[in-house]
Amino acid sequence: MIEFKDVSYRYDERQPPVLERLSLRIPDGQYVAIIGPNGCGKTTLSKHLNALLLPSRGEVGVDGLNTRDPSGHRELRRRVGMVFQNPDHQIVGMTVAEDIAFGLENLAVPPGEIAIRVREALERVGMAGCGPRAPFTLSGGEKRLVSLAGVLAMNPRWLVLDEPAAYLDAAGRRRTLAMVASLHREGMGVVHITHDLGEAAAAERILVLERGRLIMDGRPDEVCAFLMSEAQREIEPPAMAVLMARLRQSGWDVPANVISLEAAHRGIHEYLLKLARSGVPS
Amino acid sequence: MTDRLFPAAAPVVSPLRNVDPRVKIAAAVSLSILVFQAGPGQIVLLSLFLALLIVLSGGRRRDVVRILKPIALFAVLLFFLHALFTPGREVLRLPLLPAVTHEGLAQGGTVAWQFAALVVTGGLLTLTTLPSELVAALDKLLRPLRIFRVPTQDLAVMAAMALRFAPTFLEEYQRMKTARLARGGGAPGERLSRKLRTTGRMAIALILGALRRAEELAAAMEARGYARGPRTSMRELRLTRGDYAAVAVMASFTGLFFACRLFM
Repeated sequence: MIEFKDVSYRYDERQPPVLERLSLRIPDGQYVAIIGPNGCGKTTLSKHLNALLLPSRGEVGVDGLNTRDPSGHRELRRRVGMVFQNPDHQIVGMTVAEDIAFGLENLAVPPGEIAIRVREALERVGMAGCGPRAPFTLSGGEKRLVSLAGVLAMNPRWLVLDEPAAYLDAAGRRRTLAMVASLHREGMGVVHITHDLGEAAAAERILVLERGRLIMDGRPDEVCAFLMSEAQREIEPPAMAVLMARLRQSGWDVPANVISLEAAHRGIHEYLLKLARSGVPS
Repeated sequence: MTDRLFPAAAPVVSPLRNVDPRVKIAAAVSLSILVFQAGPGQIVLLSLFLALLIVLSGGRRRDVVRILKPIALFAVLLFFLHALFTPGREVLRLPLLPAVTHEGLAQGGTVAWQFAALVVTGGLLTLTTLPSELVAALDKLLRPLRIFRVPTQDLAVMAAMALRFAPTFLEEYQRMKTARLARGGGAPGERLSRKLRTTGRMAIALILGALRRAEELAAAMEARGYARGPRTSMRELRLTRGDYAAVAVMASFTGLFFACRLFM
């Protein structure tokens, strides 16, 4: 379980806090999305999860490990795998295999086992055989998958993804998000930071941050309803929810608070089928 | 551009490729010392040995040309400087220039050869060794310095990072140059003072970018457990029979070299 107890964080004492009195619990294996406008503290929050940042006030615990205890940092970093926004800033190896091995070398895994785990991680992200390639020959999507493989090789219990679909084309984005969904199905806890509510719809729970404060915590449909009701907020409500709200205003009996294209399509399709069955011309 | 920096990104399969990188580094250092010790007789011997190594490296003629091309002009310049400014028996007098001397020609030839031989030695090392293997070897070779509290592991990681990010910086530099061209800068005939000013600005932008990148990279490394303490390496360096044979060949050649020096 991940637990934030009354956490505040300031980069500079003269500046207002980036995180303010944040308290939350994420049970094992849950898929949580964190959304919010630029500068609301999403990345700062994620960096607290594996002790890259320590709270100015309050405490952060992951699976019983307090992030303030330096003796637990190595284990913490094994448990919480972090994929940064820009893979170019994360890939440290001169070949793909060396990059994936980096974390394992830091954990002092025996060399024979490293080779096996590197191969497995590459297979897991669908990049088997790419080990000898140099990072600068990879596409954006492939770099993202290499970053993910580097983290997966360490067998983490939690996966923290900072804007995993940033810099990717549509195919790369689909591939990465499908991979994340599959890892969650295998039981891994996921903390997914994003601007895009469409991406966040895949989560079981969405946290909404605004100026370092948690202003909403709920299921995707609850968060959607909240954003629709609080239109003056800095976060745009999802386009699908706006569309469905307008259809409802026009008298269509379609579900409200829908985030994903698939759910909107399903709702409209069912409504049209109902109309056809009742004999009303559409 | 990156190919030029990393000729060994996918080194050719060859006998020299299979030699342990530590042996290759040690041999390159020994050869470099021999190059500086070589007199006219040993130059022939060393040149033959280097030619043999080129064959064993699997390198083609174009690889040797690629290694030597960037330094050719400098080697020629070295030759002429020595030829013209070394006192001795006059061989040729050119208008407005000092006389070319016999000793100058010999000295210039030797220095230019030494320079080329050193570059070929280094080139052979990078042609037959992956950068990561060089870093792993460096880590092992520096290990004895740990007793003096030298952070050899950190030094090796720093070297690896420098090699890893060299192509990225080149890409960034190319992007900046293109952006400059797109805005009408860098056109042919641009004044030197303006060129220098723009180059200075680009250098500052590159340095600032590098610092920002370094900060993010440090966070990413820390997030993956990088810290002082026990660490293993995927590349386990183990000396094989072939490596011992390579050491024996190098030792025999060094012996032959000094024997030639004594008797020639």
